[in-house]
Amino acid sequence: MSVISQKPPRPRVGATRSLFQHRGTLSLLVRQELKQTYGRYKLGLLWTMGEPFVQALFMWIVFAFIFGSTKGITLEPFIVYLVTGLVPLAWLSASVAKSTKAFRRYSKDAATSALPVVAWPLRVVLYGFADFLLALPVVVIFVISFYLFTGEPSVHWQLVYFPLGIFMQFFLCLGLAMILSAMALRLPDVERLTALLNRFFFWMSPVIWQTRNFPDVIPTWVLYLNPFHGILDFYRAAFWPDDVLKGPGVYILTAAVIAVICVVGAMMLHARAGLIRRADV
Amino acid sequence: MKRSNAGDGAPVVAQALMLTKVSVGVYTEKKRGRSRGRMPKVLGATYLDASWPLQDISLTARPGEVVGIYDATGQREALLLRVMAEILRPDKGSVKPSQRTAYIAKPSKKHVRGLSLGQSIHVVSGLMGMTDAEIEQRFDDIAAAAGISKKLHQPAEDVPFSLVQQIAFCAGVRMPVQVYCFDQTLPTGSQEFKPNCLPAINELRDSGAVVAASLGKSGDIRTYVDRGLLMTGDSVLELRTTDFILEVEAAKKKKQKQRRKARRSGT
Repeated sequence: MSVISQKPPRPRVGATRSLFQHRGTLSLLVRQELKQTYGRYKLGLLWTMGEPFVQALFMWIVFAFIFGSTKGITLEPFIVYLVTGLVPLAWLSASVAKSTKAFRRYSKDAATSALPVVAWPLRVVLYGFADFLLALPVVVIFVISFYLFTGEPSVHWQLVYFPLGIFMQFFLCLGLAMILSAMALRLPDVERLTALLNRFFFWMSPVIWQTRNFPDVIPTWVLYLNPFHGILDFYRAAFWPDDVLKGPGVYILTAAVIAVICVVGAMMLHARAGLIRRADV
Repeated sequence: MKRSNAGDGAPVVAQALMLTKVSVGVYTEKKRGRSRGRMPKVLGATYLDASWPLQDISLTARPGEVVGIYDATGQREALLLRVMAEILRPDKGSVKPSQRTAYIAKPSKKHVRGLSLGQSIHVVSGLMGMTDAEIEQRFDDIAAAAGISKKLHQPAEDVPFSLVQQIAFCAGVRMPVQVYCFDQTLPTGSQEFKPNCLPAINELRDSGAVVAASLGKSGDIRTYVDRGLLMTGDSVLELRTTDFILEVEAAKKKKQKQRRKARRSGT
């Protein structure tokens, strides 16, 4: 009697199909979350743009004026380069940080709801995605302003890669959210881990540096084992296509890493579903 | 096998629900005792204690039958209903056949924070498993039955919470499913609404659905049950209605006595 197997529930309809059938409910849950977060502020949803705007501005001041140069980064204007990295990073960071509380915060709902358990980490990811969409005007403002004053950056046809970046980041965020939310059910230490993971994505992804800054001894594909690297390339391809885009091999690697993260996340969540359903008993 | 016309009149076929030797275990996180010496415990301050709240429970709930569940400790009813609703898969034993189910529990305030009553219908119904299309189809009906047709745009936080409970109940009984599990939601809502709950159960019973309900604090439902499952200590008794009513009364009295005794002794 010492071992309890915590079997996952028997799937009746596919989780994806079920989520699609409940998309209206999910969208309302995300809107509810946004309303709760920003509804208490006077500036409301404007805060979604505030953070990446101010952060990019400060970094630009520090690198371009205090350090005197953005040595190594040849892509201009530097602030546009920064902001195209910081806005997606904010989505990834929010998904990672909040996923540990996905089940703790809504333990009773998750235990009694007929929605598939993946709905709760998905809610966190969609919330971050809504934040991301609302912060995109910051990128547009910087691009237009700098184009008007300096003639750079010009927008290329590779803008079509932008939705691909969103698509891949969505699955990266979902995969990580599934892994972390499942782990956090039994291991509260995961909350501390998320801070480290967010630092990893900030420093180990080309947010404030360029791929070419790395020494040649490290093969390029190694950098793309961090899937966020490839995703950032897609976001920036519209402005600096020749500099950021590499051969298709590294992007296949990025997609493969994201697929592995998603599969691992789904398996972990499925294994913990039994635990979620009896969390409040 | 009977035909159930739950909700919009779309016929759904209910079959007898059979639980065979169902066991469910839970882990409880417990704190370890104080470490020796003055040093605080740094690693592993808690451990997991395994227990089996449900053990070898067998039950057959037939279509057109209301099964009442009473647990003296008040904790195992929810687990058993979740197993019947197939939200939770038992660690041992089986639940057959797999049918579409509704698990109707008390909604939490978090469900509806920041939403209007109209949006609350959508969220509460959706969380219970109703698809968007089904909600659209039944929206007006649920609003009318819950008595909020004229308040759809009011924030849910500005009205008594009993209205949200009414929404959950009205949405639950309108779900096109074969098995309905009520977790302490019979009756529910305001004092004026509560008398409407039990006739709604009768309708479900007449339509040939399988209905299971936990009694919780309110015992009104016990007069409606066709069979009862009484969980006391390690034993689970399957009883006919009259016996069930008497046993529940006795169990409640025993519980009250124990509480009084504990209060007197100050523990």
